[in-house]
Amino acid sequence: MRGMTLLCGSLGLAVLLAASWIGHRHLSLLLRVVSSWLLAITALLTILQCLPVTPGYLPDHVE
Amino acid sequence: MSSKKLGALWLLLASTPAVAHTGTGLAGGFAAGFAHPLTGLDHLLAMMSVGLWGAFLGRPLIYALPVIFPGVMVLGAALGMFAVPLPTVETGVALSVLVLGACIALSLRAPVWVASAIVAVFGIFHGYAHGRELPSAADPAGYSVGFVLATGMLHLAGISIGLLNDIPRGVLVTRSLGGAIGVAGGWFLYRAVVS
Repeated sequence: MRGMTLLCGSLGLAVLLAASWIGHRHLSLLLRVVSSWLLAITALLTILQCLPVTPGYLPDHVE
Repeated sequence: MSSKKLGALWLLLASTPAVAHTGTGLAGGFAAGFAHPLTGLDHLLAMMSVGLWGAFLGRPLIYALPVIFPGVMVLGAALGMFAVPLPTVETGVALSVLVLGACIALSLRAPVWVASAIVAVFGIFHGYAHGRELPSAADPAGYSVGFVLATGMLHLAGISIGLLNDIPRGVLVTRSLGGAIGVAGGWFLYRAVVS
């Protein structure tokens, strides 16, 4: 999950950076909105790692 | 080879592993998370209404509201994940549909801080509802990605519908849609309060 968190965070920052480079106003704003979602996902994934128990990750009888 | 042996061999080859545990793994979690806002009518209508109301309000809220809602929703999801008591979540979600639908129907042009505050408060309730289910999902990481992206897509869908405002009588259509959403919200609220 750490890898995924880093990936989302990096992607979010990359999209934000791209948004500040692009001259087209509407596209720039759209990219900023998308980057905010990616950064929100990053925050959520970070919080997930602080959960004491995540039942979804406990091995079940199949594993 | 005898027919019995052939039959047994056929059965052996045709057998499949137990598939009771569907929806597992990252892809399964993502699918479940992505479907969660789409399959809950209250979630779906509220999130589309955020985009639609943003389209009514114009800049900067047309861009700010789809940023504020998912951001605050993450906070609500965190509260849900840590099981922080939050009373009347269903009522809050139902109220969000009612209020946002009414704002669209009335073409309410709220100041930036008021619209942001309204959307933020409701974002907490929606996030909490998603977060309470998240820890039991097959893959919480995939689930998280799924429901945040679905939320964003619904906001964009609402904004797209809001583009009808630019055509003749388009405002009438979108305001009527807002009215219908508000009525649905009233029904959800009635069910949430009565049950």
